[in-house]
Amino acid sequence: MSVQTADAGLDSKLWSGRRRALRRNLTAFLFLLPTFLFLAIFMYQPTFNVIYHTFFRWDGFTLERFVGFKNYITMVNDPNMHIATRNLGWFFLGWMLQRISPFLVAELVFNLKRERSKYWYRTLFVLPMVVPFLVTIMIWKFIYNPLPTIGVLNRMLGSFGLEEWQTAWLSEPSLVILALLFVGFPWISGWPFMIFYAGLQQIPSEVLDASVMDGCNVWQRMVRIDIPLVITSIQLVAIQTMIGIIQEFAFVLIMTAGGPAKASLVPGLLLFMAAFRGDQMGYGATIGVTMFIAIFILTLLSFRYTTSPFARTRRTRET
Amino acid sequence: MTGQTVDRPFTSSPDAAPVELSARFQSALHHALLVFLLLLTFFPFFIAILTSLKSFQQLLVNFWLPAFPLQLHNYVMAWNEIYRSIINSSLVSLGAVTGVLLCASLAAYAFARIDFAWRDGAYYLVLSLLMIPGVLTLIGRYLLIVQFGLMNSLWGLILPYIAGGLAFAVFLLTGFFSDLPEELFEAARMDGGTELQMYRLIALPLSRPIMAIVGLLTFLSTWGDYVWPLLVLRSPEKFTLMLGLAKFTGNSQVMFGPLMAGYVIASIPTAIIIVLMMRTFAGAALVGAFK
Repeated sequence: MSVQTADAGLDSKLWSGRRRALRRNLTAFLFLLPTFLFLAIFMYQPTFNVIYHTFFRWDGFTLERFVGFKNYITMVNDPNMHIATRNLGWFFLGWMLQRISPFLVAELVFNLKRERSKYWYRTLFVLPMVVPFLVTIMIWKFIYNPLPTIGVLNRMLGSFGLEEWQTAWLSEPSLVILALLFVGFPWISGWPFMIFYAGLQQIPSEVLDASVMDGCNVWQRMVRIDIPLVITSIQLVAIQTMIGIIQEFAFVLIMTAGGPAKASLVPGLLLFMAAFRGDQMGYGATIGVTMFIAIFILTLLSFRYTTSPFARTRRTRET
Repeated sequence: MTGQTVDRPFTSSPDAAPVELSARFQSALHHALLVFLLLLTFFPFFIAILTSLKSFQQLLVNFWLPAFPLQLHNYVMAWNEIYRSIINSSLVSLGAVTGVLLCASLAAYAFARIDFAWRDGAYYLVLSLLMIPGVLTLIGRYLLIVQFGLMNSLWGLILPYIAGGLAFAVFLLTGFFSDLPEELFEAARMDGGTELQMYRLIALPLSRPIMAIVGLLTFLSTWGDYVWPLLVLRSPEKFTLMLGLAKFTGNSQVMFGPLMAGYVIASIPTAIIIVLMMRTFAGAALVGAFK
C-alpha cells in the first residue's frame, strides 16, 4: 500500500516535472521569439541568400544562370581587385598602427601621479567621440580642400611660406593613400584608448609596487609588465580593427570614391560599385563572401598566435 | 635614469633636492606632451567651430582667429537645411534603440535565467552572428527591403538596424543577467512569480546601467550610419541626418560657414546624450563594459 502511494507520488512528480520543463521551454521560446524572428529575416536569410547566389550570374532580381565558380575566378583575375587589394594592404598597415598607438598615450595618462589629472586627460581625450564619424570625415575633407586660400592644410603651408608644397591632396594618385591615412591625426580619441586604459587599470597595484621596488624603469615596466598583462585588450582591439578594415568602404566612398583613377580603391568599394551601381549582384556577393572567409581565417589565426604571451613571459622569467 | 623617478606611479619622492627638481621638470614635460597631443586632437574641431561663425569674406581675410561680427545666422541657415533630417534620424534611432532593448532583454533573460532545451545551441546561434561582416549581408538585406516594399521608408532602416544590433546586445545583457544573484529570483519563484514578472520587476530595474550602454551604442551606430540610408532612401524629405549633411555639403560649394555650422549642429544630439550618460550612472560602467 505504502509502496503504491510512493510510486504514484513519484509518478505524478515526474509527470509534473516534465510538464514544468515543457512550460519552461514554452516560456523561453516566447521570450526568444522576437529576437529570432528579426535575426532569421534580416541576418540568417540574407547571409545564406548571398552565399548561394555567388554561384550565379545574377542582377539581384532575375536569376540568370548557374555559373559555378566563375564569379570567384573572375574576381581572382580582375585587375581592379588587384589594385584594391594592394591599396587595402597599405590601409591595413596604417590603420592597424593607428589603432594600437593609443596604447602609448594610455600609458602616458596612466603614469600621471594625481588621480584628478588622470581623470581630466582621460575625459578630454575621449571627448571628440561625441562628433559623428561622418562629420569628422567631412571636416578633414575641408582640411584637404585644394584651394590655397580655403584648405586648412594648404593655408597652413602658405603661412609658413611653403606655397610650392600646396596641392590637391586627395587628387594626387601618389599622395591620396597617405592623405587618407593621415585623417584623424593624432588618432587617439576612440574606443581603443578606452579599452587600453581600462586594461591598464586592471593591473593589480601589487605588481606595479613590486616593479618600483625592483627599480625597473618605465620602459622595462611597459614591455615586461603592462603589455603582457593587457595583451588581451590589445588583441581585442587588433581583431576588431582588422574586421573593420577589411570591409571598410564608407570612408573611402565619402572622401575620394576610390579616386583618383582607382588610386584609393578598396575591395569593399568594389563590392558596393558592382552590386549597387553596376547590377552585378552575384559578383558583389562573391567579393563579400571572400571578405567573410578572409576575416574568419585571420580571426582564427590571431587567436591561435596571440593568446600565448602569458606563457612566454613566464618562461623568460624562469630562465 | 631620471625617467625612473617621475614615472613610477606611487613614488612619494623623499629623495634629495636635485632629484626633486628633475622630477618636477620631468612632470612638466609629461604634462606638456599630453597637452600638445590634446591640442592636435582638438585642432580640426576648433577650426570647424571657428569657421562656422564666419562669412566667406571673413574666412579669406582672417583664417586662424575669430572674426567679428560673429555670423550667427550661419546656424539659422544650417538649421533650416537639416532640421527635417534631424527629425528623421531621431525617429529612426529611437525606433532602433527601443526595438533592440526590448527584444534583446527578453532573449537575454531567457538565456541567463531560464533552463530550457538547446539553450547553448540557441545562444551560439546568436553569437555566431558577431562573426558575419555587415558588408556580406548588405546585398541580401537590400533585396529584402525591395521585396518588402520598404524602399524609401524609415521602416526600411529601423527593422534591419534592430536585427543588426541584437547579437551584441544579447551578448552583453546575457552576461549581465547571469551575474544577478539567484536568491532574488528564488524568492520571487517561491511567491509564485512568473518569468515575465521576474523579468519586468527584478531583472529590468537592476540592469539600467547596462541597458543604457546598449541603448547608447545602438543610438550612436544608427545615428552615424551613412551607407544603409544611402541605399534605402530616395526622396530628400526622408533623408537621415548623415545623408542630409552629405547633400548639404554637395550643394554649398563656397558656403563654408553654414556648412560647418551644420556639422556643429549635427554633433549636438550625440554630445548631449553622451554627457548625460557620463553625468548619471553609466559613465563608470561605460568603461567597464569594454573590459
